[in-house]
Amino acid sequence: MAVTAPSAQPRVFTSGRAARTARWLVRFIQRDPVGISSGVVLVVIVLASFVGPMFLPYQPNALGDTNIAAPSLSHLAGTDQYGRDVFTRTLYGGRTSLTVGFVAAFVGSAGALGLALVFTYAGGKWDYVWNRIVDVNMALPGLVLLLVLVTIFGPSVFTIAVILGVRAAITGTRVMRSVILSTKTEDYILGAVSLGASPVRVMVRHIVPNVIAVSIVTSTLAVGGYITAEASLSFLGLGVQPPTPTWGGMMSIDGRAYILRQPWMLIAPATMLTLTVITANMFGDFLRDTMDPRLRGASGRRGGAGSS
Amino acid sequence: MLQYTLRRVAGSIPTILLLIFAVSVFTRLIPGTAVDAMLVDSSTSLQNVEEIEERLGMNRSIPEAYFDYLLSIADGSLGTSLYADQDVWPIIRGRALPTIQLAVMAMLISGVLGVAVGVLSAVKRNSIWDYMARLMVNTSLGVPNFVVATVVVILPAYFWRWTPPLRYTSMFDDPVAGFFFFLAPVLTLATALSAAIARLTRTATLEVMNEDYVRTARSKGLPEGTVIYRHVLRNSLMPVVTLLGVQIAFLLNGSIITEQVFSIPGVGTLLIQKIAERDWPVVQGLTLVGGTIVALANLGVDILYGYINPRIRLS
Repeated sequence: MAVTAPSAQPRVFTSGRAARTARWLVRFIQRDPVGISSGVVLVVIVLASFVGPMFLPYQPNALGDTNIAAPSLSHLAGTDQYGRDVFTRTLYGGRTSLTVGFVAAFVGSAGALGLALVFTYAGGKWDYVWNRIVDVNMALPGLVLLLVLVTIFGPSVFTIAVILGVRAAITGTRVMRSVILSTKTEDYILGAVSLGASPVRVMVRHIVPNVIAVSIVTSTLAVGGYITAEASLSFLGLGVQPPTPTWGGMMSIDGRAYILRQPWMLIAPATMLTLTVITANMFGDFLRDTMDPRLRGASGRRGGAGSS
Repeated sequence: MLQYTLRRVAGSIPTILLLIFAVSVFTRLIPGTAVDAMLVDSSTSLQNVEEIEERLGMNRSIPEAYFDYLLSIADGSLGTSLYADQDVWPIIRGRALPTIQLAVMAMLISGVLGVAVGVLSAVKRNSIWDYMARLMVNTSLGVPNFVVATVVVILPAYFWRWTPPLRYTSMFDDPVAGFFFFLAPVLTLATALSAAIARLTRTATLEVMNEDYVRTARSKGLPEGTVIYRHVLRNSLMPVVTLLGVQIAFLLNGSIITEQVFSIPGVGTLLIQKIAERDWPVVQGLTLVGGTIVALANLGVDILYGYINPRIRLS
């Protein structure tokens, strides 16, 4: 919120650093208000989930004395069938769901970048074999694979995030590969090579900075999918196991049975999940429009209002 | 064109062989403790660890197990279930019909709905319709399938005191009862799918609307309707039609959840049940069938795309 403060009265500053920053901020926000505000909402959700619970009087798994109480001042989102505070559980559930989403996105983007660099540079038959592996990975329906692997390795936050991330890393090499291949033919790469730069130096100093934007954008756009996947697993009873709160688990195991008479048990986690997925997608679209050099010109030509 | 088709078909053979390999070796990931757990489970007729490992091909070398699995595909059995002493393929085939009905109906509805919303959204760009459509699309993509299903069942009950019938009836046995049964699950599955299609259609249509030939058509004074219909849609919808094939993996994922919610005795519920029972040969078979369907759909899309877009053929 402090970020938006200088923009309220930009004309007070006339010169100097502060003025320049303020003008830049105003222009930045005006360019895509929806994208910026979804980013702000996303940050608020993350803070609420990771810092928020410290200020709450309840423990997520503590049994209370009033079961299934309607929302009130002492229980903002009511209590569930064991008397646990739904608001507290929703925030703690955010920790689980967001951790799965972000860890998977990180493993996926870092893995995709690393693998794509290695295999495009190795080239030849290695590149061919790797691409067939990518084909197989893409042919296997995601939920089937996830269900099987979670059954084998056990349903914990860590395994679910890593399974989602590894799969995303393999799938993501396809995109990264095409970006790296088109970057490799640029003149500045040829220049660096002819100046005697080693392959590692070319990769780290010249290719990675140019493809990292694409990597960040794709992983942001994928976060929503990972969170939904974890929720689907919880619904099928194979997600992070109760009593650990997750948004998916609260909506499927606890909430569904009570949806008609006690809808608050479902409303809080469902709102948070939907809001997170939507804002993550919109923020990803915004990042794509601003960061991806290939789309920067295109979005300008189309009037810049995004093309999701 | 024939050459292109043959090249594509040949290109997909290594992928399918690798897929079979991946499915045949995946039982090796199962840790020993899981095998022990299967013995404790009383519903199995299996006597000891060796027998389970034998049945799962875990005591053979990887090439041997792969070859055995290829043989079981060749004789059409896909292996034997650990529990019922039944071949895997007949089990899967017996559960296919409900899933096919669900998938085909959802595909048809979301194809029509998604394309209509996407085109409207692109043509009336930045209008109130566009914003509403995009909001709906983003929301449908954000809400998980099982929540949509719950709402689809609950809302009619709440407002009109009418609950959709929840007992599976095949469309082929009783078309009327089947229609009413499939209404809710098909809507559930079609929500996310049509949102995804609408998104694709909007992008594709917007791209075409920026082409020079569209500006030419407008500047020579053609009415807007003709421009959209003759010049924009004909070009933008072709890639969309082929992209429908890619959505098949999406559809398979969605139908697992949807079948589970509405207790449809299809392939998705079979998968969940067999995973719970640790009946790995059936799970292997299901994974292989699902993977092959997606791989073949992608192949079909590639070939179709080559027919539609001559520029692709040469690359």
